[in-house]
Amino acid sequence: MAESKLILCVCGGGINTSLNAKNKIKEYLESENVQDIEVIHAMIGDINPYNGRKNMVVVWMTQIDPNFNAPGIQGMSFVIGSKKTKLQLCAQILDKMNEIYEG
Amino acid sequence: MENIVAQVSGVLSNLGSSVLVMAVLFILGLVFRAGFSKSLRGGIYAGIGLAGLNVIVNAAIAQLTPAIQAFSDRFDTNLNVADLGWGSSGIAFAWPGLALVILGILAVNALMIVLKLTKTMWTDIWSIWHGNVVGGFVWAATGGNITLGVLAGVLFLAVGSIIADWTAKDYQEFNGMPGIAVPCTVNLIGLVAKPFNALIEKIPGLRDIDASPENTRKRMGVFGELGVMGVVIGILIGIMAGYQYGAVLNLGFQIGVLMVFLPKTVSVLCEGVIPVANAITEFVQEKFEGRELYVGVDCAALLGHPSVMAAAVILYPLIIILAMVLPGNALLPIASLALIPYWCGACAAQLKGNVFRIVLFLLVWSIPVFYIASAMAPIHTETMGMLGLADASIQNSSLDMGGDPLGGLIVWLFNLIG
Repeated sequence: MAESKLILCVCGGGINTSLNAKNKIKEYLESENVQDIEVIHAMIGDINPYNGRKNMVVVWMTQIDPNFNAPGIQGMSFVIGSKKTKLQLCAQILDKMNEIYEG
Repeated sequence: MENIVAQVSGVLSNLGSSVLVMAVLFILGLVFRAGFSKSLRGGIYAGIGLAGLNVIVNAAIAQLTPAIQAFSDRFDTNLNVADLGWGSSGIAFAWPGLALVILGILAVNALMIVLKLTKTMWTDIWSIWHGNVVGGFVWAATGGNITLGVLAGVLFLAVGSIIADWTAKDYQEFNGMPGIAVPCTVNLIGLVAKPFNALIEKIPGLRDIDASPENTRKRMGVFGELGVMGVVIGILIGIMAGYQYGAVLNLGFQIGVLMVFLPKTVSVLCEGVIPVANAITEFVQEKFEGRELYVGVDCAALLGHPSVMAAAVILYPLIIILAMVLPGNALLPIASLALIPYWCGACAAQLKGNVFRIVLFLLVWSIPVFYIASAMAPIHTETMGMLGLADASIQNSSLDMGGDPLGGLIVWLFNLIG
């Protein structure tokens, strides 16, 4: 069985910044009626178990770690961007997920 | 006046901190037009988060205190202060000045921007909790003076925005995030790291040392994760306390609970701040559009460079050993270890991502922090006790807020006035 779709939001503490991104993405997915994607947030020190996981997009609320084996997107706009850029970023993440999904 | 204060605090303690934090964040949400249901949801989650934090903190104290006591007696150390780490954030959300500090720093920040005293917008609403803890300390230390508490908290945060100006360029360039600044006062570490780096550059031999971040993290493996590390630390403390093997293993899991679930409860608490924070951030950015200003972001954004977590996993054991050998230090770091990556992130830019320098600098930095955290233990304990967040008969403190140099200085100054 293929792995389910997962969006992993990462920041330094796994407390505030990544949670912010997670909430935004969840809200967007709900409004688009997308129900098969799980969104979680985590601290950068704890994400090693996810390294190389399939069907996953990582939203980095820090610099993107080039050694982490998964498609990544820079997500700081969730914190500092306008409403419009936040929506665009959500759409970009969803596109990325559809692009990499292997079924 | 005293009567009113007594009555108010009577009502407050009857309602309990969860109800209060819900009410405050719900009202702030409405004020900043975050929407009714979002504000209500946020408020309720904040209440749940605070109650959860309470449970975790008290469970940890109950388990840790006898173990550390036994360990201290056997080895004749005076490490008798329980380390609550981010448990201290409960103070921010439970003390009566919460909303006043948030509104106060927003007003002062706007004024400072207009007067060109700072370029950093205090848009990192979540991190305002640090100022609220300083406010809570002053409130408790001055016998319940809310005015002094709010002034202290706002002053602390205002200084943070000035340090944010000075450190902004380093953080922007190193992390590839143009336009940001970090107003949380962990930025003081970056400010001090800069001359330290210049000093190292002048010392032949020392200036050539570096460690590869990738190898370091691989070698640490799962022991770099907070939960695993918590269990290991708990087991070590249990062994040193002379416990039986069953109790040793159980203490390990109890500390694991603290390390894994304390940040989770803080994150739930955070749900309450996010609607308010988003509304304020968008509002402030619209107001000051067109001016070259920095957007204040959480220090968590600075932890992406590989050197940060590599330095952190080396520092975890070194900081514990340092705490044991520092004469006069009373705090054995446990929950506060979760803070160390933030310290690394705050100085990685200034130290050019050099793992060796980050480790060396933070070992030096943590020496005064340990003494401040030890000296702040009575006020830390009293504040947590007054707010019903922890048993006041057992001393507690934390490296983050208990050991904050600027916070400690401000509490000391306001204590003189009060």
